[in-house]
Amino acid sequence: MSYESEIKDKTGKDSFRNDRLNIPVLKYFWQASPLSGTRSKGVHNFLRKVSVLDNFTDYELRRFSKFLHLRNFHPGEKVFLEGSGGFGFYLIYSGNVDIKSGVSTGGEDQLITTLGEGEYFGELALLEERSVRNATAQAKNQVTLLAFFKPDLDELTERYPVVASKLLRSVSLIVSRRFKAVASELKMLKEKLKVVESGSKQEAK
Amino acid sequence: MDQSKKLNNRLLKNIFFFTITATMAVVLFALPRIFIPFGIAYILSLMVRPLVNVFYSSNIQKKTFAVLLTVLFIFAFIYPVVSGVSSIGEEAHKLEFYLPRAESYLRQQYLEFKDMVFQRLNYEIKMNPVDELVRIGQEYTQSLFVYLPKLLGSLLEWGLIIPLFLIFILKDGRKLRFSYIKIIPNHMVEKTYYFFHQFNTKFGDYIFAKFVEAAIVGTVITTGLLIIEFPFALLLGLFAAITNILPYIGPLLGFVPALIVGLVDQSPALGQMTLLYLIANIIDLALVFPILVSKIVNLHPLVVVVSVILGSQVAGIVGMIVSIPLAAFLKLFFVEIYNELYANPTLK
Repeated sequence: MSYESEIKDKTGKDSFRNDRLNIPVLKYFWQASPLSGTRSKGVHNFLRKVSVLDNFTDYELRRFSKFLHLRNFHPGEKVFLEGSGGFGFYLIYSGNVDIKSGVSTGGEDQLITTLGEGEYFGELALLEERSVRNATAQAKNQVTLLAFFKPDLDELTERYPVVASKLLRSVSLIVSRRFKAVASELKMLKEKLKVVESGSKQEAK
Repeated sequence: MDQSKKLNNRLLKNIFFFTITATMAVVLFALPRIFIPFGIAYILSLMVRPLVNVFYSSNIQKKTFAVLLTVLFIFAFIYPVVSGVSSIGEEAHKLEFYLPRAESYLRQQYLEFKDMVFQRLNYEIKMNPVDELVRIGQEYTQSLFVYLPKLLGSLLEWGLIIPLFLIFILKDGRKLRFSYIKIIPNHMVEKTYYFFHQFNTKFGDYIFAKFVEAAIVGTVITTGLLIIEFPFALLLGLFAAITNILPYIGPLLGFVPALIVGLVDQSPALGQMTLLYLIANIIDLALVFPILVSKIVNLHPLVVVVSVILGSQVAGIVGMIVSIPLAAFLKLFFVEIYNELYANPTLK
């Protein structure tokens, strides 16, 4: 018997109306629908697009999303200041964030990079015991960030160790990528310095 | 115009956050009948946190867990209180008849001592410290021992409210915490949340450690006193457990009543009793304290003593218990502020 005829049978016999509506099943289909608003715009769906969280399963992303704090910043508002103590890691949900530093210029903030949706910053705060921010993060426009704080990591580690270990793996991945980028930049700078030095030696001769 | 709007918005957020925080604090402190059981439930929730995490990782439903924990709480806390009230009450009742004996014993000893001084040194001691001592002793003993069954009785009253709060905190505490974090202004959210977490951790761990420590000392002393058939075993064990909360002077203070009882009764078990107290405190100092407490509180001994005195002055026994983790938290707080303001060369 087909599903339609079964329904028709039931409605005909008036027994269908007595059946309970299965809310969890409905909720599942609603969330699974690609056209569902909550699915296309939700935090969980956003996390799927974040490259460093590739190793998370759907269930793990859902668990992780419960530990995130959605925070809104106005244009120009500072997320954190260079030199201050840091306890949070941020994922950019929407908008752009300027990363600035004043160390090389001796006070005047200089733009290092601008980060966009799906990018992240402040990851060292999760790894270090007493982390000090080495740059200032400032909202370029209206920004929504997903913040994950150190206490959340402690709680995640205690409650869902597998999710926490995957997260730490992702953070390590971010750190190693940054380290590689810094190392290659340093290499490039050294080569440039060599060229400049050899040029100045030739000039001196 | 736009800039001033932003500033206004930020100011409003700050005002809203501080108003909500201050209102919550005022409401809690103004209503002690709610605050005390809520505080106890909160401390209990911090103490059972490791258990909560085990249940979370085993995927048991939150509601099931909350009910299981409450049943466990009733059996672990309420049952001993119910069964202990009558026997401790009996001992406290006996104590009312025992105190005059102790008083006359002290008076007699003092008179003998006075005579001895007069005979040997030809000096008459005019002051009478026994009267003062007895008055203080009576006051403290009445408020502690005689009031103890009443306190245990009100514990039973709380027995209904505390599990209710405990279920509520375990079930919805995280949601509430996250809602509160939402209203913290952006520029202070990281630090506020971190300090809140540190305070919770230090507080929960310390109270749990102290509770275990007091229970071990109390059990060892009570069991030992029962074995050597020393009078007031339950009361003395309980007193030793409570005074154990006080660092340094606590163990000595816990020993004094037992010594008085032993001397007044001319008990043959006096030596055994002294040895028992010594063993219990050695176990505490050599095993329990280094493993449980010292890792949590890394404070200078002087700070510990001062904070306990201040705590007892402000809030009595509860103040004594709370003062040490509070001091540890304040130390962390000030170190963090100091580092932020002075120790950081890159800070502009």
